[in-house]
Amino acid sequence: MFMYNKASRLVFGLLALTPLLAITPAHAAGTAAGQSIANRATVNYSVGAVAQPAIGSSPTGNSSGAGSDTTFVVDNKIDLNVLETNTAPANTAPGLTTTGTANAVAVFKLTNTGNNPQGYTFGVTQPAGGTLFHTDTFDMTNTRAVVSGAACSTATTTTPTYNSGTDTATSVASLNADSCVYVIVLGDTPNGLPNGAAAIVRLTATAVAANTLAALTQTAGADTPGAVDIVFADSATGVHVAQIARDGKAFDDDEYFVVAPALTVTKTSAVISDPFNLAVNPKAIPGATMEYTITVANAAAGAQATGVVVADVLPANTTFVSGSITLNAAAVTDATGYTGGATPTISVNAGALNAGATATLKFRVTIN
Amino acid sequence: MKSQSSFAFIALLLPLLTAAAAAEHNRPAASPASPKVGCIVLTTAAEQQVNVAAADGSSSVQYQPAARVVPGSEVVWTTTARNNCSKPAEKVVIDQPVPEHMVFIADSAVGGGAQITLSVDGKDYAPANALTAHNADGSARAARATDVRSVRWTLTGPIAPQSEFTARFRAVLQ
Repeated sequence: MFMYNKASRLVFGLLALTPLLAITPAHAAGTAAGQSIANRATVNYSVGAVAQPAIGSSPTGNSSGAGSDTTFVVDNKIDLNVLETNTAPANTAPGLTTTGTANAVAVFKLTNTGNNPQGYTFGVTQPAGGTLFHTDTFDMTNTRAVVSGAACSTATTTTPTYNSGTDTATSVASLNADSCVYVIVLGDTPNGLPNGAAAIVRLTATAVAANTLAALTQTAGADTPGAVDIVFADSATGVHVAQIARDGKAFDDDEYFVVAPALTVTKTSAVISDPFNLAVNPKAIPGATMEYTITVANAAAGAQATGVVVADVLPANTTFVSGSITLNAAAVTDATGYTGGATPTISVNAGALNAGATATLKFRVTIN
Repeated sequence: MKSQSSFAFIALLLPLLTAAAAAEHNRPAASPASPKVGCIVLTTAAEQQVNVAAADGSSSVQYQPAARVVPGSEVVWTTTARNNCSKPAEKVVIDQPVPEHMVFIADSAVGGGAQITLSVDGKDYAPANALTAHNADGSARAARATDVRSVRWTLTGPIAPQSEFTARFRAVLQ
C-alpha cells in the first residue's frame, strides 16, 4: 500500500540519452569573406626560332615583363541552420511556469554555415494545428528564446539543460563561421490541460551584422569587384522542415507535451533470521525477523512526481523492529518514519521521483 | 671593283645582321627601367559561365566577369594570348596556376590547338591520365583534381599575327 501526492511536476529538461548524429556540412564554412584571390598566367614563346622573354598576364592585357595579378574578393555568404536537438518533445505539466530549475524547455542548435562572423536575432512562433511528435492542441504562453551558455560543437549534438542564472542573452552578438550555439525556448504551460495535449513551437533565427545586429540585405545589382558583397545562400532544403530559400533565416519546430507520472509499486518480504536457525535458511516462525521491501518506480517516460510518500501498515501479528527503517539504503529514524498505536504505520517521504527513478523503503518486524 | 664593293657591302651587312640576331638572342630580361614590348599581349580574367537565352528560345554559353563569388562558387579562369606582331609567335607555352583557396575541376581545361598538361608542384607537367601525386608516406598514386596546382597549354602551332589563342579552366572556391 502506498500513497503519493498527486500534484505532479514536469520532468526537468531532457537529458539526451543518445546524442543525435549531427548533420555535418560537406565542406567547412569556407574561405573567409574579404579574402583576395589572385592569379597570373605566364607565356613563353619564340619569334623566328628565337626564344623571347616570358610575359606575365594582367587583367587588361600585358605585353612586357611580369604583368600584374587578376584578383577578386570573396563575398560574404550568409548561410545557417537551426535544428531541434533530440527528436523528442519537452515534457511539461499543466500550470508549469519557467521559474526555478523545473520547467519546460525546447532546445535548438544554431550553426553558422556561412563564411563570416554574424550576429543572430530570434523569434518564437506557434504554428496552428499540424503534427510533430503529436498533434498540436494548445499554445504555450510567455514564449521566448534565450542563448545557452553551454559549449557547442559542430561535430556532435547534445541537449543542454537550462540554467536560469547564466542563460539570459536573447540574441547572439557574434558567432564565427563553422561554429554553433544552443538556443533554449522557454514557455509557460496553461492550466487545465489533459495528458497528451501538445503545443508545437517554432524557433526562427535571422542572420544580422555581427555586434551591431543591423539587418542584412543582399547586395543588389552588379558585383562590386573590390568590395565584399552580401549573398544569401540559405537553401530551401531543411533537415526537419522545409525552409524558405535565400532569406537569411532558418527555423525548426519542437513540441511541449503534457505528461503525468507513471508510478508502479512492488512489495516483497524476506526472512532475515529466526531464533533457532539464526541467519542460515531462517524460517518464518514466531520470533523470526522479517524484512519488507517496498519499491516505488516512475516509468521512463513519466513526468516527475513530487511529494512521493511511501507508506505501509504493519502486518498483523508482528512487532516493529526499532531503527530498522531505511529509504534508498539511508537510515530513517523511528520518530520520522514510524507511528505506533492501534494500527502501527511506516510512512516515509521519498521526495521527488524523476522519470526512470526508484524509491526503495525497507523495514523489519518480528513475528509475534 | 664591283664584286669587291658587293663583298664589302655583304661584309658590312653581316656583322649588322649578326649583331641584330645576337641582340634578339641575348635580349636582357625586361626591367622596369626599359621594358621591351613583346609580341604577345597576355590577359587573364576571372569569369563565370552564364547561359543566355536568345529570342528564338535557344540558349548559348557566355562568359561574364565573376560576380558574387562565395565558397562553393565556380570560377572560369580565362587567359587570352594575342599576337600583336607581324611575325608568327611560335612554340607558345602558357602556364596558369590554380590559386590558393581554389580547387581545379577535373577535365575542365580547354584550349583548341594545344596539348594540355597538369602539374601538382608547378614544376613537372604531365597529361591528366599520367599525372601522379604522393601520399604522406611517400608512396605514389594517381593524382586527383584536388592535387592539381598548375595547368599548361603547349600550342601545337603558331599564333598568327593579329590572332589570339584562348585558354580556360574551371575551379571551385573553397
